[in-house]
Amino acid sequence: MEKKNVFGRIASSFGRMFKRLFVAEKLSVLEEEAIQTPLKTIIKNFTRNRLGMIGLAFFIAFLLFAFVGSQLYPINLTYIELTNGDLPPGRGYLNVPASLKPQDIKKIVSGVSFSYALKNDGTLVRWGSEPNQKLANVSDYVLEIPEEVAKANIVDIVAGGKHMLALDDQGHLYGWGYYGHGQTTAPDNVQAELEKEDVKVDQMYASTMWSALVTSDKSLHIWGSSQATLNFKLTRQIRGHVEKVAAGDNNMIILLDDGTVRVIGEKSSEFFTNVPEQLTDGSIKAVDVAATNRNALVLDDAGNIYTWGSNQDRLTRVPAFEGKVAAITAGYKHFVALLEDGSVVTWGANELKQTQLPENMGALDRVYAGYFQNYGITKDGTLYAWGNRGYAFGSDEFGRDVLGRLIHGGRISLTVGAIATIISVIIAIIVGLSAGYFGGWVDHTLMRLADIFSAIPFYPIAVTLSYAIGNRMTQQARLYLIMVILGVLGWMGLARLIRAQLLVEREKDFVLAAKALGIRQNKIMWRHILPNVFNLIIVNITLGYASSILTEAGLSFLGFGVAQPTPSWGNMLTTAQQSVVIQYYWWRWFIPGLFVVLAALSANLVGDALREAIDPRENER
Amino acid sequence: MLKYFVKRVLILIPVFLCITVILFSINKMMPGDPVRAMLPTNLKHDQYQMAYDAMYKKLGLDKSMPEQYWTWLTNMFKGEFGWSSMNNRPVADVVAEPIRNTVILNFGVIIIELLISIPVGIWCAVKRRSAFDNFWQVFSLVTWSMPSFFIALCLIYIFAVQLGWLPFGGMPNSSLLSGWAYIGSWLRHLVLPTVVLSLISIASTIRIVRNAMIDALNQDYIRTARAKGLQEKVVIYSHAFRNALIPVSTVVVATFFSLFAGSTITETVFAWNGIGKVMISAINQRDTMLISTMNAFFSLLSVTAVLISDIVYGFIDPRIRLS
Repeated sequence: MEKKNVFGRIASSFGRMFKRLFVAEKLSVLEEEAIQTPLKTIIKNFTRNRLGMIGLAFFIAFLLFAFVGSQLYPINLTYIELTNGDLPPGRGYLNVPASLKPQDIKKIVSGVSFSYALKNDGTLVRWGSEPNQKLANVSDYVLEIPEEVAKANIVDIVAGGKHMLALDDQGHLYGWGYYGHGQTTAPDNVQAELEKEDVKVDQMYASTMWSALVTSDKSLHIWGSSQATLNFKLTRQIRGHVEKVAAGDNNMIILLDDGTVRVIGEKSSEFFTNVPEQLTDGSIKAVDVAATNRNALVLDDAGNIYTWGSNQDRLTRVPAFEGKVAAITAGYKHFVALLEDGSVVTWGANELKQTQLPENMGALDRVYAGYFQNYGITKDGTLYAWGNRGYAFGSDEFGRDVLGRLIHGGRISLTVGAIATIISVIIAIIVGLSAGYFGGWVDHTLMRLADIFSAIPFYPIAVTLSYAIGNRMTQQARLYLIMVILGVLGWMGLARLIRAQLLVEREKDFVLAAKALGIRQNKIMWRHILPNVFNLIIVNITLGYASSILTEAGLSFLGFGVAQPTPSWGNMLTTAQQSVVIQYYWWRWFIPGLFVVLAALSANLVGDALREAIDPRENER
Repeated sequence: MLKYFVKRVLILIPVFLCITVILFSINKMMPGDPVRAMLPTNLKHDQYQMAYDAMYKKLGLDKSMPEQYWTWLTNMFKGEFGWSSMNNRPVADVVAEPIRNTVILNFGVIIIELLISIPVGIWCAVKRRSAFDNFWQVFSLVTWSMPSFFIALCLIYIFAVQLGWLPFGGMPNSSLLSGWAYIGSWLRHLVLPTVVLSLISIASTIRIVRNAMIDALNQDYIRTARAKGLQEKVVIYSHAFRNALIPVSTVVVATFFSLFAGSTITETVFAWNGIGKVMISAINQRDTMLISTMNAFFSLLSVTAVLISDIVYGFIDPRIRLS
C-alpha cells in the first residue's frame, strides 16, 4: 500500500515534469513573468535549507525554554538548601516500588534523596537516588543494602541525611552510607553497652552528621561529628531518664520519663531559649517530641501541641485545625501532625513541596515524614507520597535546582546577549554608514576610532572594567554594565563591513542609473543602497548574537560577568574551576555548558543559512 | 616599502596613544587607594600620615591629570612598571616567567594550527561540497560555537578524570623532576591547553583559508592556467594558494598575537601560569599596578599585531603598498 503510494507520487511528478518540458503549459503572461519580492525569495531560500531550519527550531525552543519557562517555573534567587547540595540528576525520590504492598510496611524512613521501607518480615526495600558524597572517599553507597543487613531480621531502621542505621532482633546495630564523621559505626563503649544482656535499644536517631541511641535503661548515647558530641552535654537530670529524643543539627529535644522535656545543644538558638515553661516544670505531661532543624514540637497527653524555635519557614505558625492530635512527626524543615480522625495538618517550608498534601487523600492511619519526603498510609491500605520528587538536572553546591537556574539563567544570558548585540549593531550602523556616506575626514576619524577599539585586548579590558566599575554596582546595574561592555567592545568588525559594502554599492551601475533618472541623492541612499547593506546587517546580527552569548558565558565563567545569585549559563559554571566539581559533579558544568553550545550553535546555523538565503552567490562556496 | 612602513607606523602612533589614554582612565577608576597599597600596615597613626603624604607626593598624585598621565606613560617606556602588591615584588619580575610560559603555549598552538588548517582548508576548497569538506565545515561550525572553557572541561573530564592519562592542569614541578622526566612533564601539562586553543583557532582559520582559496580558484588567471594545460597540482599550489596566502597570512599574524589575550580563560581553567592567569589573579587580589601593566602590555601586543599584519600584507601584496 505504502509502496504503491510512493511510486504513484514519483510517477505523477515525473509526468508533470515532462509535461512542462515538452507540452507548453498555458500560463498567462502575468503568471509567467511574476517575480517574487526579495523578502519572499529570502524566506523561500531559507526554508529550503535544512540545517538552517533545524537551527531555527532549536533557537525558538531555547527562547521558549528561557522566556516562557521562567514565567511558568518561578524560582527564589536567595533560596539555598545546603543539605541538598550536589545531588545528582534524578526525579525518582518518591517512586515507591510497585511491588511494595502498603499493608506489609512497618516503617518508612527518608534521607535527603533516598527512602527505605521496613517490611513486617524484617527485610528492607529502597528507592530514590544516591546522595553524592564522594569527597575524600568517605562514602559507601547508602542505597546498597549491606549483606549482613539483608540476611538479618531487621526490627527498626532510621535514616540520617546520608546514612542509615538498622537494628536486628538480636540487638545488633548496623550502619551504612556516608561515614565521614564516623556516624555509621557506634563507638566501642556503646557497643559494649549493647552487648549487655538486659540492655535493649528503645530508639535510634540519626541526623546528618551524627547518630544517637536511647537504651532500655533510659540512657542516651551520641556519636558522630565531634561538634555534635561536644555540643550535646547531658546533665544529671537527663542521664538515665531519657524516654525519647528528636533533634535538628545543633539542638536536641529530650522527652524525660517524668513527662517533661529538656533541650540541649546550641544555647543561642530560639530552639534552646524559647522552651515553654509548663513543659519543663511538670504541669503538662508530654508524650511525644519531634524536631525540624531549628524548631521543636511537643504533643501532650491531652492531644495538644506546643511548638517553638526559629521563625524561618513559617514553622512557629501552626495552622488552625479542629480535633485532637494523634501523632506528630517532622522533616528537616516541616512538621506533620496526624489527627485522630485521620486527617493531616502540615506546616513549614514548601520550597520542595514538602507541605503540599496530595489531593483527595483518604483518612490516614500512619504518616512518616523524612527529610523532604512524606509517606502516608490510609486506613484502607493505600500509600500516598508527597514532597521532594528530586531534581531533573541535579542540584548545585547550595542545593539549588539546576533546572530552575538553567531556565532563569537562560533568560539572563539570552537577554544580555541580545541587548549587547543590539548595542553593538546600532553603533556599527551609525559609524559604518556615516563613514561610508560622508567620507573624507569623518571616514578617517571613524576608522581610526575603529582601529583603536579593535586594538583593545577584549578579555583583559572587559574583566578590568567589570572589576573597576562593577564592584560598586547593584546586581541590576551590573547586568547593564555587562551588556554595555560587550556592545561597546564588539562593533568594529560590522562597522568596517558596512562601510566597505557601502563604498562598493555606491560605485555600482544601478546607482549610476538612478542618478541618471534624476532620483534625489537621499532617496538613492535610503531606497537603493541601504537595502543592499541591510542584508549584511541581518546576517551579522545572528552571528553576532552567537558570539555575544559565548563572550558573556566566558566573562561570567571567570566571575566578572553576571554576579551570583542571579543565574546565567556562564556563572553556573564558575565553580567548575575546582577539580572536585569537574570530577564528581558533572551535571553542574556539563549541562549549562551544553546549553551555551547549543544556543550558540543554533544561532550560528541560522546566521549561515540566512547568509546563503540572502546572497545566492554564497552557495557557490 | 620603507615609505609604506613609516606611513603605517605614523598612523598607529596616535592609535596607541589613544589606547594609553583609555588605559590611564581605567586605572584612575580602579577601586582602592593606590597610596595605601604601597605603605606598610604596621605604622603608628602620625607616622602613617607622614608616610602617606610622602608616598602621595612620590607617586605624583598631587600633580595635574595630564602630568600624571605623562609620568605614567614615560615610566612604562622606561620599564618602571611599579610594585606588585600581590607578590611583593617589582611587576617586571612578576611577569617574566608567565610571559615565557604563554609564549611556549602559543608557539605550540600556532604551529599545530598552521599544520592542520592550511592543508585542510586548501583541500576543502578544492573538493568543495565533498564529504571531507562537509565534515570540516560542521567541525568548524560546532567548535566555533563552543566556549573554550567548555571544551577544556570536557577534555579534562575525559583525559584527566576518566582515563587518567594527563594532569588536570597546573605547571610541572621543577624542584622534583630533572632531565627527561622534567621535559616529559612539561609536555604532558602542555597537551590539553594546546589542544583547546588549537581547536578554537583551527575552527576559524580553516574557514578563512577555504574561503580565500575559493575566491582565488574563481579568478580568471586560474582558468587561464588550466586552459594552458598546467598540471592541477601546479594550478592549486603555485597559482591559487599563493594568492590565497594574502588574507591568510594577515589572519595568522593576528591570531598569534590575539592568542596572548585570548588564552586568558584557557590558562585559568588549566591553572597554566601564563599572563592570562596572572591577569585574573591580579584582579582577584586587587593588585592595581600589575593590572595596569598587564593591560598596557596586552594593548601594546595588539597594536604590534596590527602593525605586523599590515607590513606582511604590504610585503606579500604589492598593490597594497603602492596604492
